[in-house]
Amino acid sequence: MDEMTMLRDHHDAQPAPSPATVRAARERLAAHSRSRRLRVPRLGRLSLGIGALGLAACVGLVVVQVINDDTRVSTLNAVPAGAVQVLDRAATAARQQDDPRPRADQYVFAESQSGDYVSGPGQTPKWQGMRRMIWLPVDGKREGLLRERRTAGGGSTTGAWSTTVLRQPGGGPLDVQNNYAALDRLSRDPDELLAQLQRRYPAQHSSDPARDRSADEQVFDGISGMVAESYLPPSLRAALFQAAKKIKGITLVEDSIDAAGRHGVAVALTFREGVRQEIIFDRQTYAPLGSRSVLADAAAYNRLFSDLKGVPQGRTLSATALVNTRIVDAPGRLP
Amino acid sequence: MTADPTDAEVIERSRHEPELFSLIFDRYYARIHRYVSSRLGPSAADDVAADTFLAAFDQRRRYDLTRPEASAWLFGIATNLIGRHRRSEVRRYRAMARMDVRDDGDSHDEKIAERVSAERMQPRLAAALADLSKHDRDVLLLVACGQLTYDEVARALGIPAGTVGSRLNRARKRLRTTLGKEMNIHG
Repeated sequence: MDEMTMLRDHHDAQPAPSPATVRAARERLAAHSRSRRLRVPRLGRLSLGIGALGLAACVGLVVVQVINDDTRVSTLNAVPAGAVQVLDRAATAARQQDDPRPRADQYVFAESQSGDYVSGPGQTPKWQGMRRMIWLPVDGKREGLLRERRTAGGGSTTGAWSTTVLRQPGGGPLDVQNNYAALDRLSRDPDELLAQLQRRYPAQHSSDPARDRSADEQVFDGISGMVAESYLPPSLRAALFQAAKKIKGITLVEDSIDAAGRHGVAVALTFREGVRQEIIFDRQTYAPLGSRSVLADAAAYNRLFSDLKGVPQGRTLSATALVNTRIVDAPGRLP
Repeated sequence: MTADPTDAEVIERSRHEPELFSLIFDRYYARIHRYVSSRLGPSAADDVAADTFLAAFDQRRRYDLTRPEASAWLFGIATNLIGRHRRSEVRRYRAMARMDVRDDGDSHDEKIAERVSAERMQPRLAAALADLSKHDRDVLLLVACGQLTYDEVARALGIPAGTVGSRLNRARKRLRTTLGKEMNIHG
């Protein structure tokens, strides 16, 4: 018997995990994916009211540039007052906006761009860009629709539109936490709202404490997700910005850039895992443009994860940009 | 009906429908658990295998969608997590190597060893594994236990395919040398 067969035999002799173990592991993953669903800054992150803004900036733009030069990090404002000021202005701007109330049977349409820095052991890092059009039911109780087209980095799949009906595996509407009806029920009082958000996005604990997520990190992540692409009543948007001011550790990034290449000012939080999450605002109107995440502390990240080894600090890991939102009557219908 | 979606298709969809990632779990959990168990033992495998899928979920947006099969990616993540238990892995091999001396079949240790037969490994083999460098051991066990191809091992560990071959050759040679000594002793 050669050594490879002996190793293989030893491997094959391992007992299969008990059904209870499998169930526990599966449930851990399910809980984890529920609490982190907003790390995916796409679905359910539609924002109403910033529609026309910046649309011109991305018409005809096909390839999203890799934004890897982050020399501006050095301009990170050490005085949090700057971040608070931006959030105050964004809240004021939100309060001045119209508040069109959609009917429960309508859909929020949003067109956005996004990009992810794809990397991992043994693969050449690249930027995968995407254009997306999404229709989500206002009441969250019906199926949604997603059309997307990869604009860069997808190999043979680049260029073609794909259409996905958004529903649960096995049928039924996708449980999108950020549907209008659910969001509209949130408090407009910043303190109360913050408490609600802490329940919505609880701190995460794992068997490795270094991977834990604090309540502040989770709430900031949640807010950035809601703001960047959610369908938000202006009064709620204002309250969210006031609540965000209470998150410890927020900083100002004077020059950030969204997935459509639009520059803006950002409010940011650097997570323990070494990634800085940014909510980007238009410098003049203080309307949210999109979001970005940046590898802010490569050493911290590489201690926890292996997929960004060799990726330079300051690299943009993902970005989003909302370019158009409207209320429409049916999924698939363009405004 | 269309064929089952590839891992890449599932991962892509899971980026906006996170609950779909459970499909990746269902496809690979048993395989990952067995691999981790063969290196760290069954109880550590419960934690590490579960953590592998949490880490994979967190990294799913950076999955290269042009790779239809996720096995190399998942085994790479698992191997990385195993790396944090390197000392206990080596300790375990050394413990299994010590079971060698008592082969009268009657000692207390031997009975324990029988009860937890999965823990057992040919003692000389265990001793040789303990002496391998972590790099060589990773390659060897991904090939022998994970059943990955050279190309997949290269992707899992982020090393050139040529390096996989040279590390594997070195590891096998060392194992054969140690096992050969045993043959002589017993033969």
